[in-house]
Amino acid sequence: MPEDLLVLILHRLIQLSDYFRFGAVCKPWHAAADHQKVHRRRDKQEVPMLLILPPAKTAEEADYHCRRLYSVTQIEKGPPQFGASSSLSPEVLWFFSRMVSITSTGSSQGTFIMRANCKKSPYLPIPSLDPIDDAIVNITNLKVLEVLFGNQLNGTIPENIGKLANLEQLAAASHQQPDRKSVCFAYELHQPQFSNNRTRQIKLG
Amino acid sequence: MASSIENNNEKLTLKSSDGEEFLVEKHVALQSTLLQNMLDSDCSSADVIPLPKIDARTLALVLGYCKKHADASSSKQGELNSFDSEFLKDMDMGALFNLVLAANFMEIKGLLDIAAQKIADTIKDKPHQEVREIFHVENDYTPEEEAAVREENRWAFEGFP
Repeated sequence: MPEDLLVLILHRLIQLSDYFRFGAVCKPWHAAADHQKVHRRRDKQEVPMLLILPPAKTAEEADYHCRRLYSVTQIEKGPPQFGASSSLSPEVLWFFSRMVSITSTGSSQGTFIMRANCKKSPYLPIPSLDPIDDAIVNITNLKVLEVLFGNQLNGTIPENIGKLANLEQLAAASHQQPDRKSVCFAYELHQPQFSNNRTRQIKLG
Repeated sequence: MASSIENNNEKLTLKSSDGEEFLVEKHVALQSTLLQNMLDSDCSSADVIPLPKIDARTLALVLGYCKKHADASSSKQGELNSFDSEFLKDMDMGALFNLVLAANFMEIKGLLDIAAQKIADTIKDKPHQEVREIFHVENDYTPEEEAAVREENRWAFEGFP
């Protein structure tokens, strides 16, 4: 199989784990993947994986604290059976499956870091097609939202964050800090009845 | 684009690697950037254009794709999308590989995208042993070498045989 063709396929493997397993098929495939390593590192935004403590079958295993990585597509197929200590909220699982369809288009930009309001707060860096995707505003109990603004945002606050009724903290990780005025504007649009009180409670950082 | 409209009825002949000739309307052929460039540079206005890398079966598929996309107006994007997914459905891997190579050679971006994506979708989340079987790839690793490759990125193989 010509390497040109292998490269075309490699470019379309979204998960980094698929990329590495591609190289285990045979030596020519490994060589193709190896030649694309620099390109992959430079140009491709990797879909982050979930780092989860799997349920321990024995006390010895629980002691070992072995975390495992799960890809978004693995989660989509059916979440692994997590122990009670590391359960994922349905919102997070749903959000992840949404991300799979978005990242499948191969045009992810920008990054979300979301801490959903669930007991053990899984910490999820998530790339998204749209800075504030509808998926995120539908998670109504979201309390903390950290946004790494992409270039396409120009540092402005997207209006639909006004839909996040339970937001307590909004943080931007880039040089552009969210300003109170545009947050107020977003909330006036979506929740005029209590926008003033709400927006004053939101911690900006 | 202007030239494709004024020469709408012109046809050209494409010849596959196994010698079969295909008469194609020019606006259909223009789906291929390779053919477009050839026509623009006027190096093949009357003659048969040989495509030595593409067999007749693959070329027929390629031209079917081009015709559909050339004839459909841009307002029918939904129809084209369902045509695309139907087009590749049930296609065997050998045909799919030939299609990717042909689309790459003829520079038909849309076809290249959907065909390569289909192969990538087939590979993802499958154990590498199964990928070998699907694509009839010979395993040229010794057990030690394969173990070493797995060890480089052990996490990527977790949950796989």
